[in-house]
Amino acid sequence: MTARAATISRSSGVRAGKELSDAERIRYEWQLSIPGFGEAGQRRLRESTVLISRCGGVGGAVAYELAAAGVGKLVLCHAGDLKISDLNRQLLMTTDHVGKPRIDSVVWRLRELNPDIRYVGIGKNISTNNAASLISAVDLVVDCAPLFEERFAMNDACVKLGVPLVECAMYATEVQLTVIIPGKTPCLRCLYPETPPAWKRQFPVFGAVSGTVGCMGAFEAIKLLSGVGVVTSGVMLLADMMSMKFKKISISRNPHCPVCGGLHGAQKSTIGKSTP
Amino acid sequence: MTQTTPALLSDLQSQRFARQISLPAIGEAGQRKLLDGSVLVVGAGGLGSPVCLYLAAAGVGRIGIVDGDSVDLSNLQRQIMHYTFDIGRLKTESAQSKLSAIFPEIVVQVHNFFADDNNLVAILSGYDVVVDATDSLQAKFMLNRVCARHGKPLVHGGIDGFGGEVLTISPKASSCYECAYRKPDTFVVPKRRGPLGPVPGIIGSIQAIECLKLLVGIGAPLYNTLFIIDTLGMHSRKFTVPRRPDCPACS
Repeated sequence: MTARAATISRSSGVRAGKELSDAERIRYEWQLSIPGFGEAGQRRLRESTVLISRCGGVGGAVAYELAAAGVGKLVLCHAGDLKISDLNRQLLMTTDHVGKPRIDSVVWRLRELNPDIRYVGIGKNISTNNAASLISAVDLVVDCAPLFEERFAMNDACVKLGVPLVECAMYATEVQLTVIIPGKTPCLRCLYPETPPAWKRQFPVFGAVSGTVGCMGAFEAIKLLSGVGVVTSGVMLLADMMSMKFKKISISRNPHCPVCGGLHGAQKSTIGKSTP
Repeated sequence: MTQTTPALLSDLQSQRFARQISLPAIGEAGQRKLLDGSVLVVGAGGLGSPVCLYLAAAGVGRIGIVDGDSVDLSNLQRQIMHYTFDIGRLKTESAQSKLSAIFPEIVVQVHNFFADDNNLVAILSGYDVVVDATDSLQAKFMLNRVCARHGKPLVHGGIDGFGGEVLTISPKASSCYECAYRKPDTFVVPKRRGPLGPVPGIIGSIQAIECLKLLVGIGAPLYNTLFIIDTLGMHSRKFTVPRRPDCPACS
């Protein structure tokens, strides 16, 4: 099953907002020429709010691309102070920020890239304590967290609130990508009822591998928000970047899933909800 | 007196690159190869941005950047190495400041010109690997011929709308860009169809990974294999590209 992005955003009655300014027309000139995206797509991006957690190797690439593309508001979650060992992959971090809060470096770099976007920096990772309140105020979530408890917290809140969730994951040189549409596609708990026993926190990573899946996840977010293209949902894209073997596998819902098992049919998408 | 073997890496380098040194295929020896390695990136735009940023983050010791252009507001939706305050600045200089901020030990050599066969020949020999991050077919055919003639490994990348491709070339050993595509008699500038920034982001990231494979000698580089992805549906395919015995560039 492949969900059409178009049906999601258009049926949700996204309001495209006011016309683009001259400066916006120049900044986004290259993407405004895209058939199926155009000025309406750009205005939908501008009216959208996306939550990204975390903003390291994978999430940093997602945040870069969504800020560059003109998503109106980004809610960015990342805990802790910058360590030198983060710098082999986290492109929003710079060496002079070592020892300072990571989220400050994230917001500072993004503001330099595109000052027209509203950035909300939160110096915490997503947990069961804050997931529902943060996610209830956004249109879309991009999960870039390395730990399953964070990923489950996002998944469970997204399913409950009917918010689409882009899942970008990686391990060493392998990447995984899928988009969860609550009530329609499998959720993370259908795929992983519990944390895989072998999962460890400090897995090896090349920055360019996290960058590949981060850019893919950013594009999935743009598809969902703007209505362009076909969303990678109902399938899982798996790739090993060392051998360059890519494959898509079908994934199906678990009817007894403790999180989404009771949902039938597509839930009302919240895309465009933040539009007045 | 006991003699100790000199360490491959400084303590700071061991810390900075810990998360990739832990890849069994890399280790300290692989990291040393990256630090001693050099890459010439031709083009500092949509493809060149992720290529340069990820090579610097991985600890490639020396990066050369060829571009004669300055940063324009309309570049910023896809060229993530350049920021709003860089508008009007040379792209090579904007790039240099970003790469040094990530990895202060890096040596960045700026080549402020638009690549042609003459000016490339003068600098090519100083680098281990060349990356095609250009934005025109004409430049791609030119770069391929220059690298074939001078025996330089080349990581080709290209995008068109929502599509992208990567081919890695080992001169005289694997097929080249002209084995895959015949050079047209005249070049027509195609109608602009984007791209959205993630498309060069994906292709540039893959090109950076290909460079790391070549510098360290790991993985399966895309030799004789054209990787093509349609990001609109995230469909990808690999095409075998045999060497053309009559290839005007590499035979």
